[in-house]
Formats: sequence, C-alpha cells, structure tokens
Amino acid sequence: MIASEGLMYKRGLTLLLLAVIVIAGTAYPSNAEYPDKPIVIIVHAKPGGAIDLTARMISKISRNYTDIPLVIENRYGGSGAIAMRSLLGKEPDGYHLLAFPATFISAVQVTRSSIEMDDYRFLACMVEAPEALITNRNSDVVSIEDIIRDAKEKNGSQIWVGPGVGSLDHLMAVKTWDKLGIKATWLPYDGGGEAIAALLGGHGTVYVGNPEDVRGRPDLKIAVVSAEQRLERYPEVPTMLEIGCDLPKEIMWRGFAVHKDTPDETCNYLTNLLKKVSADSEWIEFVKFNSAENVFYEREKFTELVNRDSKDAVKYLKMASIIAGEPDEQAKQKRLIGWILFPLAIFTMIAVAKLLKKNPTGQMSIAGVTLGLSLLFLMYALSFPPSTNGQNVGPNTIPTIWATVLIIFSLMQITSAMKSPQNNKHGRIGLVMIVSALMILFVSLLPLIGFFLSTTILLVGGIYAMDYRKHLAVVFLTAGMLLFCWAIFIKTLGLPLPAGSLFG
Amino acid sequence: MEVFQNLASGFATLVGAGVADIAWWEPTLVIAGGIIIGIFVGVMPGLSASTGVALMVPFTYGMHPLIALILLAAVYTASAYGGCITAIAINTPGTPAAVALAFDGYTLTKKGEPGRALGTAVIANCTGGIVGTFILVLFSVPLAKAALAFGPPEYFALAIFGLTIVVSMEQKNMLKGAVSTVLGLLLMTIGLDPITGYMRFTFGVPELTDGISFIPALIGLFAVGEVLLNIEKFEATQAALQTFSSKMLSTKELLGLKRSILQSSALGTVIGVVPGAGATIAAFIAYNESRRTSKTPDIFGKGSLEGIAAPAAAAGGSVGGALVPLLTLGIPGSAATAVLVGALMLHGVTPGPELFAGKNSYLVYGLFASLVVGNAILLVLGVLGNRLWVKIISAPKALLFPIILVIAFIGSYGVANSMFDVVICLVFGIFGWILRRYGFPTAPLVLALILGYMAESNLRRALIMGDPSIFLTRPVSAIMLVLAVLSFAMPFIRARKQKKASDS
Repeated sequence: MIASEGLMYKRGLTLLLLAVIVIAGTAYPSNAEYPDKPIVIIVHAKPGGAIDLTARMISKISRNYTDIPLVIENRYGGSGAIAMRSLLGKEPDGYHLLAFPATFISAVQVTRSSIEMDDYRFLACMVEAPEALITNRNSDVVSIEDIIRDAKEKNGSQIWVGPGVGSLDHLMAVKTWDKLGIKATWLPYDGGGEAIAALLGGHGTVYVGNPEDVRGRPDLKIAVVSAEQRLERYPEVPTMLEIGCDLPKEIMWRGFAVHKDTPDETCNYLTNLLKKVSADSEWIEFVKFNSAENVFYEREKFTELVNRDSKDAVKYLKMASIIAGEPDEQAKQKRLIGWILFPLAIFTMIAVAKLLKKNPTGQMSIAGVTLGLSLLFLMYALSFPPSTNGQNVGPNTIPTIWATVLIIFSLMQITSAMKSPQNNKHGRIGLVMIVSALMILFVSLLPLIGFFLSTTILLVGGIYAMDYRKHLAVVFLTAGMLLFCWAIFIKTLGLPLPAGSLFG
Repeated sequence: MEVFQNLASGFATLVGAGVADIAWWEPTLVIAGGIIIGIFVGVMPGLSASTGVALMVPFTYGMHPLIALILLAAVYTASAYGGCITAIAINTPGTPAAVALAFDGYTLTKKGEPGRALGTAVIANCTGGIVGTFILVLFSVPLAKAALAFGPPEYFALAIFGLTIVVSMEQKNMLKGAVSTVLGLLLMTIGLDPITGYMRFTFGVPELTDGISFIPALIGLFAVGEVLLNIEKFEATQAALQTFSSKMLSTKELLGLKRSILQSSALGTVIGVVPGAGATIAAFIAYNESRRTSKTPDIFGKGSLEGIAAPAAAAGGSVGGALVPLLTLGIPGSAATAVLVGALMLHGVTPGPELFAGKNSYLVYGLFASLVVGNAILLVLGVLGNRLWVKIISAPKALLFPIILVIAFIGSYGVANSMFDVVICLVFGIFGWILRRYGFPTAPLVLALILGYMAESNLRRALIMGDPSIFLTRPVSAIMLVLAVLSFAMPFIRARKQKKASDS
C-alpha cells in the first residue's frame, strides 16, 4: 500500500514538473533575434485613460506592420513615477517601451522622485494637442473677455478647475495668470472628467484642458486656445496671441521612450515601426478625431522638447509654490521624536500593564501599536509645512486630526481591555505560522522564479501543511490551477504575470 | 410614450433589426458571453469592474460598435454580481461594494445555508439592475442635473455619512470599530496630499506616493485574513463534517423582501448617478436604510435576508445610475464607465447627449435593451450557478484555502501589475488576522481607506471655495451631515433606551 502510494507520488511529481515546464516554456519563449517576443508598452495611467487609449491604438495598428504583438502593461501610481522607474529597472533590450506624456515632466518635480530625464532615450513624439481654456456655456462667464473681467471682480477667488496638482494643466493656469496679470485659485480634481463635472455644476469658472474635452459635450465652450493658428474644427475660437497673451504654443504631447542604453539598431527598429503607425490612415483618423495633431518628432527634436518643458516646469511650479524644500532641522527633529515615541508607547503600555499585574493581552497590544503608530504620524504631521496659499487648512491638518482621535480611542481601548481582559482561546498558531511563512516565501520568490514555480510551492506546501495526503489530487489540482491561470490571465486577458528574473 | 417606443426599438435592434452586419442571434449570444466573463471578473478579488471592462476592450476592436458596447456593458453588469458571490461564500468581497454583503451573507454560509444567501443576492441584484435601467431610461436628464449640483461640500458630507454608517454597523463593539475606522483614515493620508501635492508619510518608499491602494488591502484583510483565521481553527478530521445546502429561498421569503429590494434598487441607482460616489456608498446606505425601515432590525448582521438583498440590489442599481452622467453629460459616473468612454471612442463614437439624437441613437436604445436582457440572463445563470459555488466551498478546506491564497495574490498583483501590491496584500492579510482574532472588525478599516480620501479631498476643496459655513448653508450637505450625526448617535440612544427599559 505504502509502496504504491510512494510510486504514485513520484509519478505525480514528474507529471507536475512536466506541466510546469510546458506552461513556463510556452508562456515565455526563449530569445533569438530581436524582436522575437511581445514588446511591452508601459503605460502609467489606468486602462481607458487618454494615454492608455493612444498606446492601445498603436498596438492595434502595429499589427499591420509586424507579427510581434505590442502588449500594454498598466503600471500606475506615483503620478507616473512608478511606470518611469519600472522602465529603468528593465533590461535595455528594447522589449519595454514607456508611453511618455508631457505630464511626466512636472510630475517628476512635484513628487521629487529623483528621476533624471537623461536616463531615457526619447524615440518619437507622436501626438500634440494645444492647451485650451474651457468654460460653461450656461454660465455668465463664457468668453475670454468674461474670464478676465470676472477674475478682476473676484480678485483671486475665481476658481479654475482641472486634473491634479502641478499637472500640465495646472502649470498652464499659472502661466496664463502670469501673462494676463490676473489672480485666480486652482481647484485640483483627481481626473479631467471630475473637473469637467465641477465646471458643468458651476463649482468652478474655467476648466483647463484640451479641445478633445469638449467633444460630445455641447454645454462646454472653448474660450481660447494656445495654438499658432485657429483650430480647423473650432474656427470661432481665438488663439492666445490674438487676445494679447504671450503663450503662443502650449502643448500637451505624447511620445515614447526607451532605456538610454538600448542599442541603436533596436531603437531604429522601434522608431521605424512607430513611423509606419504614424502614417497609417487609421491612426491619422484617430488623432484627428481627438482634435489633436499628428506629428512625428524623432530623437533630437523630442529631447529638445523635453528639456524646454523641464525648465519651464521648475519655474512655474515655484511660482505656484508647489515645489517644497527638504524638511528643515526642526522638522527632522520632530520626525525623530516620532520614531522614538512609537516603540516607547508600546513598551510603556506593557510596563503599565505589568505594574497593574495584568497580562498584556492581544487587545491591549493592538491598541498599544495603534497608539504608537498614531504618535509617529502625529509627529510627522507636525513637521509638515503649514498651508502655502493662505488657507488655514494644509497638508498637516487632516492627519493631525485623525492621529489625535486615534490616540484618544487607543487609550480608551487600552483602559477598557485592562478593566475586563478577555483571554482568547489559542488555536493552531503553529499552522498559521507555517502558512504565513509559506506566503512570505511566495512573495519573496515571486520576482525571482516567477509566478508558476512560486505558486506551485505555495499550493503544494499549503495543502500538505494542512495534513492533506491524497497525492494525486494535489497534483491534478496544482496542474489544473496553473493551467487555469495561464489560460485566463496570460492567454485570454493578457495580464502579464511575473516571469521571474532568473529566467529572464 | 416616446420613451417606450424607443426602448422597443432597442429590443428590435438586439435581434438585428435595422442594423446591417449583425446577425439576429449575435447580440444575445454576446450578452450571455459578457455576463459569464463578468461573473468571473467579479468573483476574482482584484479584478474590479473597471479592470474587467478594460481587459475586454482589445477584443472589441474588430467588432461592430453596438456589439462592442453591449459586450462591455454585460461584463460591467455581471461583475457587480460576481463580487457578491465570494463575499457570501468565503467572506472575501470581490468588489468594494460587496463588503456590505459579507455581514449577513457569510453569516448564513457559516450556518450552512449559502444557497439561500446566494439566491437572495442574485435575485436582488438583477432586480436592481432592471429597476436601474428603467430609472435611467425615464429620468436620466433630471437626475444628471441633480448630480451636477453635487459640489465638494456635498461630496464631503456624503463621505462622512458613509463613514458614520460603517461605524454604527459594528454595534457589538463600537470602540473597536472606531479604532479600526480611524486607523484606516490615518493610513489613508499616506501619499501625495490631494491639494498641495506634498508627500505625506511615504518614508522614502516611492510606491507609497499614491498611498496604500485599497484593493490589495481589502483582499489582504478579507481573503488572506479569513483564511488564516480559519486555519487557526482548522481540524483536518472535522473539516469534512460541515455540509452546505444549495437550497434557494422560498417564494414567501422572497415576497417578504419586496420592499427592501425595490427601495435599495432605487437608492442604488440614484446614488450611483453622483459621479465618483458609486456603488460602494450606495450599498452601505441601502443596508443602513433597509435596517432602519425593517420590521426585524435586530437580525441584521446575524444572517438577515434583507441585509443581503439591500446591498445586492443597490449594487445592481448603481450600474444604471453610473450610466446616467455618461449618456447625458459625457462624464463617466464610475471607473468602469470611464473605460466604456474610452472603448466607445476607439470606435469613433463620443458618449454624451448628442448620442440620443444623431445617427447613433440606436446604440443608446440598444444598450438600454441589452441591460434588461443582460440582467435576465444573469438571473438565470446566477440561479443555475448557485450549485456550482456551493460545490466549490464544500471542497476540502485543505485544498480550498491555498487556492484562495493564490487567487488573492494574483488579484493583488493584477490591480497595477505591481509586486508592491502583493506585499501590501500579505502585510494586511497577517495584520487582518491579528485584528480579527481580537475582535477588531476590518470592514471599517477598508471603507475608511476608500471614503477617507473622498472626505479629505472634498473638505479641502470646499474650504478653497469658501469658509467653513459652506457645509451648513448648502441644503444638501447640511441634510446629509445631520443624517450622519443621527446615524452615529442612534446606536447610543437605542442602547440607553434599552438599558432604561431593562432597569425599570
């Protein structure tokens, strides 16, 4: 009996190993001549955003010119910093492209993410759209003259809405105020759509965006556009120069970049592919539909554009008092006190409990940790700069409030737990520890050996840890699970699961 | 009634009348396919409705615009339900809105009656979907106008209202619930300040720039935490003893839910209209309202069918609601509809009021009809699927738990293709286990992560617009803030009354 089970186990293991190899093999074919595997376009926005759609359109049209699929990988976060870093972390072999929108330039400054533009090789800039001021037709302020008059009347309390802080559109607003000599307030929203809703609802007077934003929204009106000539589609809209505002050409652009060490011939291949897409009738139609301009700036001109925008960004971000300095000595001290208070609070709680001859229970410990954590956050919040633009509510206000409230609640919880300690029944803590260890192993191995192998470890390990001994069932389940993930995530949905750096 | 004529023409469109290149059977088949994919998307934690819809976009490239639209709408519809399944079956909400379902749904499953819970959820959800569609058809224009009036003060009040509901749901131990909520609120402040762009509490970790992303946190706290909690109580020999019944609810029980379902469907639709507020708040408010108006409020949280029907119906209704601003203003009402905008644009169709009149009006009415058909198909598939889900959770726990862990990690990774999110899921998983072990509820923590951002950013925006009196001078925000205070105070008042009653 035992022998046959052992044999079955061995046979099962071989089967499992085979399945893993087959799956891993088909999912990630080995290298030969460039390009012989899918090229990934890293996009910083969520699926459905403007830059994402641009990348998806390129991926779609590229099928006419190459057999190699271009797949989109959305890596959002950090206002683009995550995507920008992600590209630099990849091999410079041309299998990863970064969709590079103009917004990255100021985002790098705002997030102080220490990303250098010199680390990228700018392949091609493909889309340009002029910046525009947009108003609500149903309000009293429609034309640019209205905006200027209203701004002077309100003397700084006129509200301009748009996506983000220190974004391209925010900078455009600051530039316009500067050149027109007016004052207004920037009300940032999380996305263009929300900001447009605010404009339509009368919560703001001017929206800063691009002509494509008014399409399909008849209540919106472009007041002025920052283009050298009037737009073909909106001939009645004046340009910035016509109204005497010295902002001849403020543009939002979208291009593509690779790692700076990517070989020349690889870059040439990609540039040529993008050039073919750029000349495709479907692409021309797509860009025109978005009231943007179809351009193709190669490396030199694109890099120049990036450098010019970088200089501008620093100047106007300072003007909008967005770029904050490093924390000063006093702030650093407060933060240090926070780090001292964090463990101190927990130890004090334990000491007090011991003094009162109570066992520090789990309930007390959790409240002790939240107490320490809220002290840490409170000290950090106190080190933040006070509000910059004359408001009484700054970045420190809300965290200070929540941290204070949590300190009070934690203390209440500690007292109540000391008054009536509840002892928890201990279950199989050992088993929980084993499974937790397996999960930690899984998470640390995932980037190294890839999804399929680390999943096998977690699955098989977890099942055996829980005393399950039907080996054949384990084998079939594991193989089935891997096959399922491969079929659904990689093949059907095109979600790139980690391949593992060991296998490149 | 012109509206009904148009709707009838929509149904005609669905069988291919009046549209060239579409066979009569094609739309219905596509809807059914979309529903199946959508259920799957909802079941997978991490694959939210918006991600699911976005992943389907590339498949629609070559399709007729109508087919593309109804496919994506079907995926969206069904994913709202899919999230309910896992919330009920394994206490792991597949979508944030389904968190509200876990309270009563999972309780029933633990009692061995998942069939009744799942049956209630699918019937309520589909009813919600159909009610939502009719509200969309009949009242979209006035509803959209009302939604636009929602400015920062109103959003702030709505978020606060939602938060007080969450705290008051933890009636067993409000203090622990409060600690959990404020901890979530404090953790929410990690990342870029929404108004000034100042980096808060990132401790030098670039991935924290955008804060803790709440989907991996939710998956960790619920899925991983739940598995660990169960493993602690795990007995290999006893595991087989628990039997689950796939028996549905009786017709009499269903009739008893009529009021709760209809009321929640309407609430879900109306709250879903407000851009950005969406399904999550709708589900919680519906739950709260249902409990307030119920004849048996005491069994809420202990396996009440009304407590399942209310959030499920609201989630179904919110789909129709989110389409209101999209179709009338061209502004997406939720993340998933934002992706829908993008997909439509790839097909050269701009969503917005002009859709109703122009040559593309058949798309709108086809979409309306497809929502009704989609919900009907979902009802059938959902009822048939119940047996399958019950069978899955009846599998040996030793096999089920590791699989849930693997799916939890894939889901976290899939949110943004980020290893950091997998780590977040793991950390919050172990943290969630510890919290729940000592009776700290985790649902308020997750909801605070979601609503806290909405509360802070809109509070700050409101204060840019005017002085603090703005919250009380605007009627909608004033009413909601009063409701918030009431819903927070009610449990205390009720407890005091009961105490008085028992004393005398």
